[in-house]
Amino acid sequence: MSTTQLPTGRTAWQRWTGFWFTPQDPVTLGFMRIITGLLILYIHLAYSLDFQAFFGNRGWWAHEYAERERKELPAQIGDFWSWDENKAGPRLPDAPHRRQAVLEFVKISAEMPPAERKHALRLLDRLAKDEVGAYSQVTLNYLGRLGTLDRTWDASLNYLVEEKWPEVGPNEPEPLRIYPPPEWMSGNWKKEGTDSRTEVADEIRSFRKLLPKDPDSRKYVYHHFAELNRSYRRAFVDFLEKMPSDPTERAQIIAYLDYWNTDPRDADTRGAPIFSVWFHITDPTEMAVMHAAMLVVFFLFTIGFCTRVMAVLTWFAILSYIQRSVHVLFGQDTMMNILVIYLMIGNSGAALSVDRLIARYRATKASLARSGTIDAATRAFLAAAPLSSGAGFGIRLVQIHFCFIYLASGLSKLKGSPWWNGTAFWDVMVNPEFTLMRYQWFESLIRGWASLKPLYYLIITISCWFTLALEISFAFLVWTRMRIVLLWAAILLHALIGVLMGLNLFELMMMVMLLAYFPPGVIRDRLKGSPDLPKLAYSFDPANPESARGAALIEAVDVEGQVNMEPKKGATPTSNVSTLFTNLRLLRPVRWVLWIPGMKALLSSRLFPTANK
Amino acid sequence: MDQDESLNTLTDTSPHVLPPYPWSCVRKTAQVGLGLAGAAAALGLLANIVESAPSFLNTVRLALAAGGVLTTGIAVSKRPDLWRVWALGAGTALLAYFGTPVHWDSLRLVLGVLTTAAIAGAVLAVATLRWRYIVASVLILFHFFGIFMATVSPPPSPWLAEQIYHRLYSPYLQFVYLRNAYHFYSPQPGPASIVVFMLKTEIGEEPLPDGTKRKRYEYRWIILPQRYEGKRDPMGLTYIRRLSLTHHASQGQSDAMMPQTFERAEVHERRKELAMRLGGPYYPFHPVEPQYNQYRVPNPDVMRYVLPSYAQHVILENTPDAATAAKTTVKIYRLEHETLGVAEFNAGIDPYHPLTYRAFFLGEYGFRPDPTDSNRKRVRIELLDPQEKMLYWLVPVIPRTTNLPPGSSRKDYEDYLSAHALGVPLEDLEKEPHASRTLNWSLLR
Repeated sequence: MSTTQLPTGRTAWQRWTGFWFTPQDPVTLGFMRIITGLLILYIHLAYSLDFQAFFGNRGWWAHEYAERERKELPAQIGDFWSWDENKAGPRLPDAPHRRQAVLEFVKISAEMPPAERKHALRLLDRLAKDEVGAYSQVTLNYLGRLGTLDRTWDASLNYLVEEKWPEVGPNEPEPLRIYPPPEWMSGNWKKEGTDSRTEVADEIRSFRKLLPKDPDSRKYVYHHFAELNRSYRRAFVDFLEKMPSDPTERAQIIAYLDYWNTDPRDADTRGAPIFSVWFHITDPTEMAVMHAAMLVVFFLFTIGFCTRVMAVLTWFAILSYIQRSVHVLFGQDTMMNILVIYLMIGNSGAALSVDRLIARYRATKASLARSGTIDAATRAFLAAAPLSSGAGFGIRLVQIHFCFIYLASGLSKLKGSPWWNGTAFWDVMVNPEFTLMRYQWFESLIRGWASLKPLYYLIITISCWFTLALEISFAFLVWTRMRIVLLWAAILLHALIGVLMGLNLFELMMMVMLLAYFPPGVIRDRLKGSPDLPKLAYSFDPANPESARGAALIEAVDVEGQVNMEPKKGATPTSNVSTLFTNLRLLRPVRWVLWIPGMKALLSSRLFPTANK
Repeated sequence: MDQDESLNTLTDTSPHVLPPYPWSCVRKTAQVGLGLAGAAAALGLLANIVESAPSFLNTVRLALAAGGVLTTGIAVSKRPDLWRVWALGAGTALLAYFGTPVHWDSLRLVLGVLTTAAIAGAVLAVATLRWRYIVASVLILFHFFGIFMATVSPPPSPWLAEQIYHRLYSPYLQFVYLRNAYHFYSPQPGPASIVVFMLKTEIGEEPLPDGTKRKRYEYRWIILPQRYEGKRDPMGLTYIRRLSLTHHASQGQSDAMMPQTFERAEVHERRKELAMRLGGPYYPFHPVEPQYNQYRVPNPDVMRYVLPSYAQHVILENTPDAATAAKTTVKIYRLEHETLGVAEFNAGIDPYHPLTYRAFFLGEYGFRPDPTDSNRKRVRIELLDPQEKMLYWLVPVIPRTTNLPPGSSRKDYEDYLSAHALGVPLEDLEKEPHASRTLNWSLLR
């Protein structure tokens, strides 16, 4: 919502730039900065209680795992041109014992000299070419029946080729007779040559070298290949055939496969472009020092000191916590990040900040130097922070992002039947981990409500409809005269969630975002002091640089215009430090600083330099 | 002057009212920053040349680089209208990049981003207002199209969105942490989970009547989150964060019981053996849940990294030294807490009754020699028995099958969870020492 009247009949470009870049009162964004800063301070102070558990070397999400994820996490994107989008790669089974078995198979294969490995993999290669899959199943079933004794294998393969069992020596035990699959023994299959029985028997014999010795492990390997479809089987063979000759590189590839279940060479990207100081600082003492430094940064951001720089530092600091331990995050951290990004981009330090006080001081000082008095333009500057394009831009960014959040949240709920039949609201209300169910009064309240069937259905239905209607319509109606209704409805929704579900900080963040929709003057007016504030007079000599500086300092902190500045040559001050700290609205809450030994004298010498001489 | 009136007249800070910081002052500040970053880069060069550079050199380089960027940043914030100060900012960030030790790679990433931003700032500072608007508009469209892509990225997502999201936006949205799709409570609000750990530490041996010895163990339950221990701050943030930890361990595969998998057939057979009283451990199936729903395999990432990490943390945090940690194992259970339907509520069921929890066994973990360490000195946390028959199965907590006399203090449920965790038959749970070792369900309230 803009504060300036825009001409009608504007072009699309004018409307666009008018929407995004019209200067706005920076008080709203400044207020959002203060509330966000306080919430950030609380959130990160609370981290102090669990600091090592969440971010330490041995935390819940230990440093070694976080580092590995950051540096290795594979991302595979479906092919852009080919219709075969699922790029097949080597895969291990998910079940740990099966993964172990297949991994052993991979390691045995990898250790073989390349030529021998290729030779041993001929059977798998054949299975990978089996389009129908029946041949593969028959083969793998047959291998499964052969067990682990080489004699049994040899006898059966001899039967496959020669169609008779081998001769057994006088002192040799009879091998177990496992007949080849009946499909293979039809008589149409030639004995010699390409794709002959002799060749397949040889392939099976050399494949045996790759198999683990343990019978269960062998079974798991067969099962794995039986479960893989043709393209994945093909990929598995290719993976084994293309093993590098360097043992270190080979070991790294196998370790990567074990951990991430993919060939690192297949990954389109590896690792994540994220930042956190906690990836690099792991010593508990150093971490504590850095954490304290970050709390100081959050404080400076909150009070708006060097806001532009502190906002950037605050953002990188909160990213440090967020990116290090995603397992402890929830919606609140997402909202906090969004707010800080836009407060950083927008000119959030232009009002309600130390920066603004400094600007007031500099403007007063410049005016006194120019004219010996506070001129009209400077008075206007002191009366209200100038409209700011940056503040307007920041507000717009929050507004638009909030619309995305609500719309996505509302539309995604339509996927679930509980949001259609109303039970979603019930499920939320009786969730024992989040709600106030642990309190007897709350449980009694719910029981009372649930005991009246029409009341139960009335509340769950209206609540679900209310949530859906608000979240879906918000993005469209908030730009109309319905804005005030929507804002109250949204505040009600978030207040209820905050109280009933314990997600209070998350909901407070959402409410801070809602402030972006408030008309520009609303917050400024609410923050404005009463007209009954005490009035003071301050006489100073504008020709005296020290006196002018004192006057500029007082003007800087006199945000309510309580002090009547009286430039007079040779004047002596008519107030003192105690009076100022007792009466000025901005100074009153910090009047305790005067208790610090020496502080009163110091301030006196700066604010009332001529009185001390 | 009235404030509203002033708002309508003042739209920019006039240089007449608020004199800008002089360039000479800004330049000097920026040059100091540039010099600090340059010193960091020079030390970086030195560290590359000298083979055994002292480690504190890295700390000095980091301090110089950070100080340089901060100082120049202040200069830029004083006069963002000057391209020259942006250029000095870009130079500082670039020098800081080279001044930062290579192993601080994520900070180097930030410095790379800052360098790019400063170069863009310099270009925009010399551009006309129209061009600034055009560039800002392009960035707005890029940014919010990315946010839109993030909202539509969860499956089932259109192919186009998938391609755009992964190819174009993923690095950007990852860096700024704006990947959330905002699908809150969608498609439905699910039940929360609690993770329960049972630590078992070997504490020595005890003689048996036949003269042999057997190992003695100490048992300890850890509950995540335990409401009153977890809620350590007034607003309960520490508790919610712990619930997030359990949420991450609760991600499961929906197709774990697909009939075509051999694994399904085998685990089902193995589980059925335990559901028969054959003299060994006995754990019946849950009488209400369908059998296919009683086997929940966690997501691969949960199995491979999340659970080992949690197990490692729990063992190390609850043992005084490495030797004790080596003798400690931990069994992990995920307790899905069912939300009661309205009919159950009206029937007067206690929402925290043990029967409202569905406990899934996630494995027993302990430290074992790291096979990748040729000296066999290093240890790593591992799932001890991948073949455990109850692995990923629901461990039932079911209503007591025999009627209790009125006023009986005995439990009205059969706690197979405690029996499984302690490795004792259910019948022995009410005898000491096991009775005092069973899970205190009231702690979950």
